[in-house]
Parts: sequence; C-alpha cells; structure tokens
Amino acid sequence: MLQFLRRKIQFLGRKIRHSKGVSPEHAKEKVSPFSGNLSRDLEEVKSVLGFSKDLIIKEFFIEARQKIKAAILMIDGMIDKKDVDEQILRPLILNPCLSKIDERADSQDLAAYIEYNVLTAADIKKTPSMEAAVDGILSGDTVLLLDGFPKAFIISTRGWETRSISEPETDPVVRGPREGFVETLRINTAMLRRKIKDSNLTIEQMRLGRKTKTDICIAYLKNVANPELVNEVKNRLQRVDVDSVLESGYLEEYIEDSPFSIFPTVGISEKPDVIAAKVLEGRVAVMTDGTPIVLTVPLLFVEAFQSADDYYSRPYYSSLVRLLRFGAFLVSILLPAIYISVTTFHQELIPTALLYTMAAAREGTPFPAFIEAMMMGAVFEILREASVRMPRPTGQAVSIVGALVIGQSAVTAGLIGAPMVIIVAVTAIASFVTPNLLDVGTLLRAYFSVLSAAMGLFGIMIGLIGLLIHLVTIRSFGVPFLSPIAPMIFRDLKDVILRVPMWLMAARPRSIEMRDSVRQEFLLMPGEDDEKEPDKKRDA
Amino acid sequence: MVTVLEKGRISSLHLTATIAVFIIGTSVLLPPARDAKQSEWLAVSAGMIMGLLYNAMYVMLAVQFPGRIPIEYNDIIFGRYLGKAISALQLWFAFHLGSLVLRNISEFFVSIMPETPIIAFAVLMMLVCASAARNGIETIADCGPLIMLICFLTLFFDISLGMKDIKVSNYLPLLNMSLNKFFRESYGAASFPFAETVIFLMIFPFVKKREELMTSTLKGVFLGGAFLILEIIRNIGVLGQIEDIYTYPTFEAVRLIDVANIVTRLEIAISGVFILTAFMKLSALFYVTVLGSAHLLKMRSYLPLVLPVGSMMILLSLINFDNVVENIEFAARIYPVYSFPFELLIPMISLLVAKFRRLSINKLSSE
Amino acid sequence: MILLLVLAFIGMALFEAPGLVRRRWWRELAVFAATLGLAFMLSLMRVIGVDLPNPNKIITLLVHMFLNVLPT
Repeated sequence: MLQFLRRKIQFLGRKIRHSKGVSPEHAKEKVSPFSGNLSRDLEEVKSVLGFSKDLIIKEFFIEARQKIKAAILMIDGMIDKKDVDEQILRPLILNPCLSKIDERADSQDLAAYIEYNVLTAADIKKTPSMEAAVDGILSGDTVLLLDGFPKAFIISTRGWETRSISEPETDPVVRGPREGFVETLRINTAMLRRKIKDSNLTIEQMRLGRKTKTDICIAYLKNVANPELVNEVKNRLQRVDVDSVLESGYLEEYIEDSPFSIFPTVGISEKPDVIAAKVLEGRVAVMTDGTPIVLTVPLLFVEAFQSADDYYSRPYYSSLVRLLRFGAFLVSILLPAIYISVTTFHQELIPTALLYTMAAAREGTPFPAFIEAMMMGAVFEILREASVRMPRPTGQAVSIVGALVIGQSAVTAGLIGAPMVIIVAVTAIASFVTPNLLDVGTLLRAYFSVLSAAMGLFGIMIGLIGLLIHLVTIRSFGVPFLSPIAPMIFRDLKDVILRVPMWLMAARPRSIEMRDSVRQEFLLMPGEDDEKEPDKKRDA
Repeated sequence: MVTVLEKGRISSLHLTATIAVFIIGTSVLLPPARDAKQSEWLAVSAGMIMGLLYNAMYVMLAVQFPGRIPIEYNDIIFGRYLGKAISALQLWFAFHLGSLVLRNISEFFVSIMPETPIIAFAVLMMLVCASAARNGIETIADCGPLIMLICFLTLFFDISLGMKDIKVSNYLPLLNMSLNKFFRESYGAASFPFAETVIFLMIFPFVKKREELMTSTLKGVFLGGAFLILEIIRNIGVLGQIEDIYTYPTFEAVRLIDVANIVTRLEIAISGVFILTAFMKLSALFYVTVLGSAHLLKMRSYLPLVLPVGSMMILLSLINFDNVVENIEFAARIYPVYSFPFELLIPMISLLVAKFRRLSINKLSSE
Repeated sequence: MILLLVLAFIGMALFEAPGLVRRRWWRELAVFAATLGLAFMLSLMRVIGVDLPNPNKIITLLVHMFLNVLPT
C-alpha cells in the first residue's frame, strides 16, 4: 500500500515536471561579474536588492597617491557595528601607509596591499561574482568595493542579537549540564566543539533552501563514523532542493528512510551533551541555522528509552528506570486496549473481587467500553493540546477544568465508568515517560483499541505482531531500526535493557555499524577498545 | 539462482532462534506422543534425539549444494521431470502443513472466544504472516530471538510458579508400555515437530556462515526440544494421568497456577506464546511455499504469489477438519506415516544420490 | 458473504496487478491471475455450499491403503 502511494507520488512528480518543462536540477542563475566601475556596481547591487531600506552604503576615499573611491555595503542589524568601524573603516580611511604606495601600482597591487596590510578583520574573501557578494551581504557580511577593481571583498562581520544560552524546555535533566543549543549555528557548533576537543571532529557546511539559504552543518567523528553513512547523509541533504528550510523538521522529512512510517527514524535533541554523546558513538549530527533542534542519524528505536540522566547518575537506579520506561511505553499503548478486550470479551480473566467492583462502577453507563475509551482518549488529547498552546497562566484553568469536569463530573453524572478515568489517567502519565514517542503512542493506542474491540486479546496479539514486523522492516540510514533487539546483538543489550556501569561499556554499540559492511571496521575506538579499564570512563 | 528471489541473509543466531521457535510453534499447543501418557516426556526426548539425526541429515544435504534450494537440485538428482514432481510434492507438504498450523491456532482461539467465527482468526493470522513473508526471510528471522526470549521467560515463570502443584507420583509408573509402542510414540514425536524442519532446507541457503550451519541448526532443535520437554514434564506433573484427555494440556496446566489468589490467570501469557510461535511457524512455512513455487514457476519475484497462496491456505485450513477430535486423531495416527516420505525418504535419497554420484554445485552450474 | 469475498479478491487484484503491469512482468501476471482465479473459484464454491474434496480424507485413505499393503 505504502509502496503504491510512493509510486503514485513519484509518478505525479514526474508528470508535473514534464508539463512545466523544468529540469530536475534547480536552474543555476547566471553569474554576473563586477564591472569595476564603482557607481555602476553600486546601482547594480541596489537594484538586485530591490532598493531595500536596510541596506547601508558608505562611500569614502582611500588616501593613496591618487584618491580612490571605495564603498562598503552591509545590512543594518546583521552586522557588528564595532567590527565594521574598527576593522574596516578606521584602517582604510586613517591608514597613513596607504599614501606611501607606489604611484605606478595598479589596482591589483592596491587590492592585495589592502587585503594583507590594511584590513584587520580575520575572515576576508575575494570574489568577482555579484551573486556571491549579495549573498554575503544578506548573510551579515560587509562587502568592500574599490573603484577600478572588478572584485569585491567579503569581510565577515556577522553579529546580531541572539538569545543567550539557556536551559532547554524539552528533556530537562536532574543531573547534568543545563545548557541548550540556541538559534545561531556558529554558537551551536562551538558548543559541540567545546564538548569534543578532538581533531577528528569534522564539521562540514552546506547551504540549503533556494530562498532561505539556510546554513546546515554536518558534524561527525572522522575516525569513528561510517564513511558510507556520512556520504549517505550528504547525498540525501543535497537532494533537498526546496524553497525554505526554516527548521530542522523540514529536513527531517526529506531525509528519513520510511516516510510513511509512524515512527521517526531521525533523532532530535537540543542538548549539546546528548549530541556529543551520539556523535561519539559514531552517529552523524545535522545542525540547522535558526533552530536549536539538532538532528542525529541513524536513530534506533531504543534511543527513545535512553535519557542523558541515565548516564550521569549511578547505574542501579538508571537500569531500574530504564526497565520502567519500557513498561510505561507498553502500558501507554496497550492499557486501554486490554481494558476494552477484558470487559468486552474476557470477563473471566478479571479476578472475582475486582469484577464485582468494576461491574458496580460500570453499572448504568450508557456506552460500551470502546466508545468510552475513544471519547476519553480524544478529550485527553484535546486537553493536552490546549495546555501546550495556551499562555502559561491560563494553563491552570485548563487543568482544573480537565480534572474536575472530565474526571469527577463525568463519573458522577454516570456518563463514564470510573475505571475508564483511571485507565486514561494512567495511560496519559505513562505516555509522558517517553516524550519522543508521544505522537507514536497516541496513534498506536487508537490502533490497539480498535483491534481489541474487534477481536479481543487475539486482536491485540495480532496487532503486536504486526507492529513487530513493521519495526523489524524499517531502517534508519541502513541500520535496522529495532537493532539491537532484532536483529539481536547481545553485546549491545548492556545499554538497552540495563545501563551497566560506565567502565563496562568499553566498546561502542555495534548496532550503528552498517549491517552488511562486515569487512570494514569503522567503529574501533582509538586506544582502549575491548579492554575493560575501570579507571577510564567513556563520555557516553 | 535463488538469490534473484531473495536478497536477505540471516545470521547463525537468528537461524538457531527461528528453528527453536518453529519447533515450539503449535507443538506446545497440541503436544505430540500423547498416547505415551506419563512417559510422554521420555517419548518426546527420544523423538528429539531422532530429530537431531534427521536435522543433521538435512544440513549435510544443504552443505552438498550451498546456496541452492531443493527445488533447484531436485532436477539434478531425480532428473528433470521426476525432480519437478518431487519439488511440487515438497511444496505441497509445506503448504498443507501451513494450513494445519493455521487451523490449530485458529481453533484454539475459537475455544477461548466461541462466538467469533473461525475464519476471522484465520484471516487475521494469515494477514500478519503474509506481511512478514512479503518482507522476506530477514524479517521473519529477525523476530526469532525476541520471540524465543519471550518464550523462555514465560516458561521460566510458568514452571517456577506451577512448581508447587507438581506431584511426583504422577510420573509413575515409568514406561509401562511395550517397547514397540514407545518407539511408535517417539517416532510420532520426531515427525511432529522435530523433523518438520525439513522445510528449512529452503532457508539454509540464506545463512551467512555456512560452517556454523550444523551447530546452529542442532542448537535450535535442542533448544526447541528442551522447551517442549520441560513444558510436557510440567503438564504431566500438574495434570497427571488425565493429561491426554485435555485438548490443550499446556493451557490447562497454566490455568491451574494460583499463587495465594494473587498470581492467577496466567493463561493469557501462555496464549501469547502460542500465537507468537504459531506466527513464526506459519510465516516460515508460508514463505517457503511461495518462494519455492515462484522458483518452480520460474518467476522473477515471489511477491505476486503471496496473496493467492495465502487465501488458498486459509481455505484449506477451513476444510481440513470438521472438529478438533479429528484434528488430534490425524496428528496422532495419520500424520507420522504421511510425513514419512517428505521428512525422511526424499531427503535421504537426495543425500545418498548426491553423495554417491558426487553431484554438487559444480554439476548444477555446468548444466 | 459473497459480496465480501468478491470485494476481498478485487482488493487483492488491485493491490498486486498494477505493479506487475507497470513492470511488464507478463509471466508473473499470468501466474498471479491463474492462482488468484483458482483461489476465488474454490472460495466461492465453499461459500455457496459446494462440498470441496478434503485433502486430509484423501491422505487418510492413502495412508490406510499403504498400511494394509505393509505386513504388520
């Protein structure tokens, strides 16, 4: 069915492309060079930018033997004014050495002299292309043009107002670093570098989005990550030829393996320590400018049950909590279904004493258990959505209304049986234990409820088998999603069902390795690998 | 080449687990060798030893033709026309066995939920098995270790909780039957479930490490057999002499577990094991059927066969038996004789002919 | 019931056939059509109450014949 849909979509895509006669590659704009005539070039740039009012142009003279007209262009608000003043304007206008330059020196020599001896900025590029210069201006760089010199200097002076580093709202930890990524790419890459001060940490950059021209960084450990994986990530990212990339979610949907699966196959986090740990395990991180959410691939199903906290606190409790998370996930997807099937089909399975109480509580309720479960589930989802979207102070009201009206009154009024309220409440709380699977959990809950209403426990079992087959089939960048559970890799289970002490986790998880690249051993850690060294700790 | 039809490869661990779960499937539901009464476990143990020999023979045959399924080398061994006929017979065996498994598991669920028609269970069960088979051998085998773990965990809890109900006197007197009868019962246990692994001849070619084929297969048979024997020992200890009058003795024995009125009604867990193992067995049988048929019919993919063969399997499972007594009767009396040519005769002749005429993969490729 | 059966088989045909036609796998399409047609005929006969021959009965007969031949 999904393959059918996929084929349909590809077919439609081809049809549209044919009818419009557009080649699959995004047509390259033609390169227009600078003329060398300053006033003409300035007019050109202005018209390219649509005479926008936030473009600042400062014209001035350079005091060489003969006066040379020059201009700098920048966008207001995207530059650091102090940098422009100290590193560009001051040296150029006030430098006394410029006048000593030889009379016969042509504009080439002058430009070289300015680049190497005058400008004090660190990051200077030269370009003959107007498009590159305009791109630079739009990214917050300052462009310097000299009269009679057909190239532009692009001087990095980016500096704009950013949010300061703060604790992320999602996945908070009890113990561990409080910092979270921010919206600026450079700050984020620096935060990652500060965690991993290894020369092998490679950060590659590319630009995506025809209109937004968003910077994307791919970070990985050169000697750990599978080169095939890195290439695959790059290829998939280069395929993304879209108008805009405003958030990493845009990318996620273009690069994931199973676009029709309800399970995400790309991991997300906004905590530098989490990303560092994943990169250290051989994963590849994809950072997007303008969002604190960083993507990691490949994602394994079990990662939803791991939290940064597990590794920072001692192993016994962490292991217990991890088992609890698996249990909570199962409860959150299965409990309503089990309740429905037990009350509808298998009353004999309820212990006798409980059966009496439940029968009494359900006495006189008008709806069958399935309808009750669906109604309460929908109400809960509405409440959750409302409390997320609502301004903080109003949230209180929602929870009071939810608890009182839905919980208390519905039961008193005899609309809903009291057991169902308990079931929905337990389910809801259990579903918050694995926040990454929240949306998946909701869908699965409905799926299992329908199956159990139709076929009882047999339906639930069939549903579980179907789910298992689906999970076994999907891949995340070539890695089986359910690894290391299926295919089973016993060595990796030490960090899945339990969290063994750090000094026992001397080897990296083997699941992330490509399954059929057995000959290549990419994941060998430098130095200590298989030996257990109790005094050396791994970072992740 | 069979690789055209299936590109997946499975590891030795997955083969072991798949074989173990395959053997557990439905045999834990309807235990073999019931006529041996309290010596059933001895008969099944003897059957397991026979089963190990059978499986050693299958692996030797598979090693003779690495990377090929029986459909391919039957033509070499028996000649073009007889080979085709024998291939068809083998496929029929897998297909028919699949329908029996489907019948057994759906019948079991009808006994729990009597109002639901049997076809509903059969169709849903077939649906998941067909989707597993569509995704190839890797998907089926990947589920193996997980299902095996679940099985053994359930077994551990069932047995440790049911321990207090076991009466040693139930096992006595041991072996109060003629040796002839004992042998007959053991042979029955060997033919169902241990030698049903003959269908793995079509799965062996996809195992990654050929040198581990023998150990991993025998390990799988042993694990599955150990599970079955432990369950049977528990059943006899709990239910005693009357064990064989229950249709589903394992289910009855687990139903009796009652620890201080708190831990009761564990039959849910055991029916979960029934359905998981039956899923495994059915999807393996179904997969083998469609893969073999596709090869016999020289198709480029086995996927088009999945739905038609699946619906025919459902149909056959519906007309197989009129009631569960007939089912048990068939399993005990007819099946051991019926399976004899498929499980012993054909593989043995193939192996002997291949050995003596020194037929191997080279002959195959030269043709 | 017959309607349900027809719908199910039409669904199966629609699920598999378009892909085969697109790839021009005529041989596979022929096999698919033949087996699906056979399955449909047999199911239809079952639904309208025709007694289908039970292979188990045949097997039982064969086994008994075989056992009678053998001196036991």
